Amino acid sequence: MNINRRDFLKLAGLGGVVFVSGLGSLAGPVGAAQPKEDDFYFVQLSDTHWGFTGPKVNPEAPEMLKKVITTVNGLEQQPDFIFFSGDLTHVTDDDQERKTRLVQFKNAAKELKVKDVKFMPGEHDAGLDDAAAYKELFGETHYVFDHKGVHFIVLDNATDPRASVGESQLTWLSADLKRLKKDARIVIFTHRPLFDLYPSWDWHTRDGAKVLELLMPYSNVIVFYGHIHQEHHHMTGHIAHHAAKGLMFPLPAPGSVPKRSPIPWNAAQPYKGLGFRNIEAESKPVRYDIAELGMKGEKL
Amino acid sequence: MKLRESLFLMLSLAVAALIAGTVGGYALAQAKDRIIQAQEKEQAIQAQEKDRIILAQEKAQVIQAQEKERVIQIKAKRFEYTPNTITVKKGVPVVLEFTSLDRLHGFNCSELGIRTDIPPKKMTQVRFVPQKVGTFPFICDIFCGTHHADMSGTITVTE
Repeated sequence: MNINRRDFLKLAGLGGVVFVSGLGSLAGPVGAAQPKEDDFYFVQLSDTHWGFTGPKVNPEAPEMLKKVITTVNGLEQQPDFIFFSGDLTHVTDDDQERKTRLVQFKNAAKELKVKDVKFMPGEHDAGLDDAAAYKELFGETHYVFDHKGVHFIVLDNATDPRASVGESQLTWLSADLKRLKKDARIVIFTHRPLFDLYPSWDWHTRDGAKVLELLMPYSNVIVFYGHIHQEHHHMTGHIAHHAAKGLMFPLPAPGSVPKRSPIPWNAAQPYKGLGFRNIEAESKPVRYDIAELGMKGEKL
Repeated sequence: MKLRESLFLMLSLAVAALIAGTVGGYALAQAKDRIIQAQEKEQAIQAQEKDRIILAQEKAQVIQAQEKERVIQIKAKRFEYTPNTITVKKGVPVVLEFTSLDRLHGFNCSELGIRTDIPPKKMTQVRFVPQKVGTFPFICDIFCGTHHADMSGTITVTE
């Protein structure tokens, strides 16, 4: 692949488009994979909330998932893989309905041209049944994978209704990190923010500080997450955290209003607050350029 | 002979003075020790008495504070708290008594540093003394279902 920044920004889609210049520096079994030096990008889609209904918030709710898939399939340059960062479905108290929504979502995702599609749960998918239905359909809620020299870690901070990663997963993460060199390129996916973005709205991970403590010795770590349905950027030390926009409804800026209710649909500006983000990463020096784009590909 | 007697007399006087000095000094030291011991004993008694008085005062303050504590009972159920607007006075101790009517909920008023789990079939108490005036939101921070995001309220602290 050889695309410049301008070409890259033409890759209009929904969710976050992430471009990675992949010069990995991994060790052990991961390093043994001999990472290639070619660049790649992937698409991050977040908070699709399949099953949500609320005409005042999104009158096009039943069509949104199809629209997203159509737009991603229309990308001029198809990504290496697509990552859904949680809240695939909207919450329901009915176990059977939850499973139905997850099945429908999974079937819809099969329509994506790109066949390497990865998922993680949000609390709407997994927080009421300990991820039972999610696991049955999508597998484990936390896992790692490697792609062209970059090590991806999917951390589940949504299945526990208390918004914790938990000791067991922390131990697993610690063991995984120990295999890596300190300058390994590491991408973390979570659903919730790992830092205290706004605990009064539950926009945090209760034991997120422990995760960050484990990540801190590694010099090339970046975190992509969802949950807050808006663009947000934050640094904890040298670790950057980037929230993706949602694909069903936007939420207000943290603390800007008394309640975190969805922002009503604006007929004069449909899809306002829903959009996608390009992140261009360069390895020498390690750098990430982020461009926010609207639903139609316009630069915001 | 006269000189010898004089010398003897002087020597005797010196010995006598030495003995008297030694005995007197010893007696004086003994007396001094007794005085110090007595003073120390007296101080210890006074310190004990002071401690006793402070303890009694503290106990009285605790009892007084407990008597002045305002108890607020809050019922939690999907997806509301009753009441969900609470007004308290700055400096007046408060006890929040939570009961869940259905399942596990949470209570998190992060700006006042108050958080607890609210398990069902059990009363949960949280004590605090409001120190700052204002209106502070609280939420259920344990994901509990369809309208979890609506399960919230406010604590208002007045002067």
